Amino acid sequence: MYRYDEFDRAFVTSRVAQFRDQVGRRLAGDLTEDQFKPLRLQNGLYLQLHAYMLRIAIPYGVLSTRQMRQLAFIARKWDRGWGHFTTRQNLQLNWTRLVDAPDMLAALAEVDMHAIQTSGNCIRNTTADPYAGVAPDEIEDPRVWAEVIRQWSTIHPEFTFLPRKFKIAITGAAEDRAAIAFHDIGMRMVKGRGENAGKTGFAVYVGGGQGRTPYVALPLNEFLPKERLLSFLEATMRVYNLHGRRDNIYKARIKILVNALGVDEFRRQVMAEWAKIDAPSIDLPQAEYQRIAKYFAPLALAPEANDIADIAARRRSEAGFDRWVRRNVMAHKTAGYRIVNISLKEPGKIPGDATSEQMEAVADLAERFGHDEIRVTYQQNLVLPTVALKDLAAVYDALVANGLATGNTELITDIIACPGLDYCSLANARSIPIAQSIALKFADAAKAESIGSLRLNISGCINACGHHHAGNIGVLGVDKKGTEHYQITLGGSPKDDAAIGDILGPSFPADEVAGVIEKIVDVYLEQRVSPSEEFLAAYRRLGAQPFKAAIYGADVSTGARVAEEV
Amino acid sequence: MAKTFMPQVVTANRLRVGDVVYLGADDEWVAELARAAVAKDAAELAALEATAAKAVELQHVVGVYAIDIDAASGAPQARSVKERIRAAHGPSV
Repeated sequence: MYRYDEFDRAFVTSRVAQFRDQVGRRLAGDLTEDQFKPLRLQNGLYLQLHAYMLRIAIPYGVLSTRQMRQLAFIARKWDRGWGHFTTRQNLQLNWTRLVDAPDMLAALAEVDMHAIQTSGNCIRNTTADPYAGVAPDEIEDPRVWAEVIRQWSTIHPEFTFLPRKFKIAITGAAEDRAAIAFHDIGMRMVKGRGENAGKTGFAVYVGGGQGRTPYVALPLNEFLPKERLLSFLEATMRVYNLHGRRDNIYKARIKILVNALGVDEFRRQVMAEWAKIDAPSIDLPQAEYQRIAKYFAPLALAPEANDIADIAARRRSEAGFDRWVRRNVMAHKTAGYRIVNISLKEPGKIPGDATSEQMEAVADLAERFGHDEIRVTYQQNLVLPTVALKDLAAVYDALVANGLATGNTELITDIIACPGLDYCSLANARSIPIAQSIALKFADAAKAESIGSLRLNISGCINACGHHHAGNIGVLGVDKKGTEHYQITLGGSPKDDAAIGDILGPSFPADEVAGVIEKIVDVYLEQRVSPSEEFLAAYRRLGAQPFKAAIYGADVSTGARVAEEV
Repeated sequence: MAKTFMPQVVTANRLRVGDVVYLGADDEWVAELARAAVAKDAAELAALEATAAKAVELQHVVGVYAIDIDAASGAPQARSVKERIRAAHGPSV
């Protein structure tokens, strides 16, 4: 993985010193809160419901063991001994003290990390396929380009004060595991055709996003030669920076501009800007690309046997291990190795939370069995990207010992949820207790698995940090005359068949939500063609009506999206 | 017809630490909502807000605002879910 060079290190260290000085000036009264607030936000420090919250950037979701141990150390020394992994592959510490923040940032800098650009109207941390570099269906490792984008976008002077925040996601694989269709810019590495045959480039999508106005991204460039990436991104950003609305925060994201202009006109403007841009001064020189790519060189793994008798025997004799392998262990591009998903979704626990001890346990496993590398997924789980099949049982046993062995990847209990009103000052309603009540309703692992793959997402407000629009089942917290209510959507998808869920109807009070979800699942189980027809496919075949009838009764009108007080 | 004044208290976060506090009697900032000074009319609220503004100037607190409370049954209780969670100084889970 990438290691800071002298320039990176000097920059991050100087930012820590700068912020330490700013905090000192704030405490001394030389800076007002109005002056200080943008400075702390530029360093990832928010003031939330109960305390300051530090959002730490995890570039494209990649962590070394050293970094994970440092996160555990920081959480233990200066916070409350745990952290929350987010849907942007970052980590949030919810109990930060302002007076400690400079020391926390200094500790991050020791391991090549920071919290810069985790807030504000800038280009945020680029997210990526958590299986990057090891997935069998990968065309090319997207981490190299994610790192290129990180370096290009970090304190880019032209894009530090955009109309609104800007999120980029990238995948190099055939299957979209980075939700690229729900990003301001989403990119997929593709093989060229026709005149581009033999080349690798990017299919670029623009204007996706969630929030109060959800959109699926639209095609911007079918094939962007990869060596032209930065100049094309710069041209796109310039069009957005020039024309994006600054008069209304709710209409300031690029998705609004793209849909107001129409994607064809937006594309025309980008191409016109790109044609006149000084591309050679922006595009990455090949030598620099190669320098960065070396950090992501594939591990020298000798292919090994893909079947091990001991593993097979234990799977036959131990249902929990068998389920964990079936759900959480994925194929690796090298025979004899596997990708191991570590669930942070034990039913009843808080989705995405990990204690310092759990972080250290994962770091230990990565060191012993995982080639020193850990990934964070936007589904708020962790991944050991390269584990030898022969080590699988040892990894599982250690995960069991640390409460991390739930075998529920992509099941209904693998709930994506924002912190909601328990922590967030923007939220209308709590997310965590709703997630817990639903997960406990389906805590029987065999029952959850019998339902099959099903994405369930919960957001505590319309800002949609829990990606409810993209959930097969989405739950949105709303404020209904001072009480927490929850609106249900069905049919969303963050994957290659990206879609925004349909609002089913009037919202439900908190204590009814888990039961409503159970009724929806029961309709699916009763009406699916076979167990191989997943929930989303069944919903698309059946439509909303049987689900509406189950939860509202037979008199609910069909088809109409019901607007509520969101 | 004049709108009935809803009893309010003034809340903020301590600047150095970020923890939730309420303006209590004797101009002290206290952690417990139950000990907050209750404004029963606009004039009392204005007085509390003026005191809070001074605390902001002195870098004691940040993010000052007033919240509606229910004081009918004795000690003040926050009316909104958000403020009840905030008053508990931690998540509900």
